[in-house]
Amino acid sequence: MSSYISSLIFVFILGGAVFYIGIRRRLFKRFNLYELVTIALFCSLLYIGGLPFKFGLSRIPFIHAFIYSIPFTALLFIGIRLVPKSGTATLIIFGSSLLSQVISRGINPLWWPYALFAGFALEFFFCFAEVILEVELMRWWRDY
Amino acid sequence: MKYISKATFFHRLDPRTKILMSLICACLVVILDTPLSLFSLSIVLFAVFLSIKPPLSYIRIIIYLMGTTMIAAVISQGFFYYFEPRTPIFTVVPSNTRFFGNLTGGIYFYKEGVIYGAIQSMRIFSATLLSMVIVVSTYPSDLILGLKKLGIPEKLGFIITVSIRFLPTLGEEAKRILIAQKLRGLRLKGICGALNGFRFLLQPLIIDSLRKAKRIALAAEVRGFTGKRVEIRSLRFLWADRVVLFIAFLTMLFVIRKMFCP
Repeated sequence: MSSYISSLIFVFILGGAVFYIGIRRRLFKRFNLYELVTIALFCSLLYIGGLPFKFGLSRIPFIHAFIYSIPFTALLFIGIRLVPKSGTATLIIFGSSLLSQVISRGINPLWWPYALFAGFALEFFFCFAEVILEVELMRWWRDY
Repeated sequence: MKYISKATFFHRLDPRTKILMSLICACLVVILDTPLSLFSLSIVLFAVFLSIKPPLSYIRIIIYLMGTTMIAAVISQGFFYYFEPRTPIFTVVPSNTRFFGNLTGGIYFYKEGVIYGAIQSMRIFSATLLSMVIVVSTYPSDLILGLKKLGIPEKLGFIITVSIRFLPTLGEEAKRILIAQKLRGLRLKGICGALNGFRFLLQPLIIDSLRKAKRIALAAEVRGFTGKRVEIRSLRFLWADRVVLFIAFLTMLFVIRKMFCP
């Protein structure tokens, strides 16, 4: 119980730091509808991206988690590059976690801080280094 | 596991009640720390699970999950229990064995580890059971509506709604692309095959997703998504919901009082 509470406090501190740096450096921008839908579709893609990775050994729990991290990371970073704004990483990770809870595992709010932690860690790096994986692809796609 | 439409008491409950109940149950799972109390909680939740009349295959899955979790946790904790005091039940490798004994300091199976493993497995089991009750008895869109009413941000609610709506479509599309690639000679066996398959799946799937995103965003804009919104389906908080929540909340208060103010 104490380890859970301490991890919760850590998530709050990390989230606070992200918000503080983000607001101070004016990194937060509003998402438009197109970006929100793109993030939503990437939440779904994270769920089905592991489809080719369903083979013999990958069905064993720990090996599955290890192998599944390959498509997860790849899709997450493509998503961040397509919507290069602060908050995209958190929305994609938290959204996909909530999606899997709604569909298969069942809603359990005690698991939410773990997804938030993963998102905040990435956001913290982006905010701190002031590096968002920007790419011209999104602009090109809008013009297309 | 998926939603199954049945006319049971738990199916009729408001999604908000189920979400709040899951939160209370999750707190109980963390607070309770004796094998007897956790066993009682598991039994109650198993009874709740049976009350939603799940198919036999679901009950089989639950029993299989319960058995494997219990065995794995008891064995692993029995061997690797670290805290003191610990009482060895039997010795696998004595500490005076020539190589492994010196290396490991002896491998023992501890009684306290077995108890700790049983407690942990019952915690996992209880949390899983209530989650399954929610999944089987609540339609996903009702669950999202419940989350929105409980204060989840509108944008996050929209993201989850769109994700759920397009998950089957994207899944079908991914399968179609993989079949097409297989017909062109792609082999999907092993980790290398999986990586290759993923590489060839990614490009068409993402391009198609972006096309879809553009269409959905346009359709939502046309229907006035950014303006004031109304919902076709509304949730109703009935007396049954209030009674269930009241009982769950009282139980939690009772347990907290019992644990922290004996």
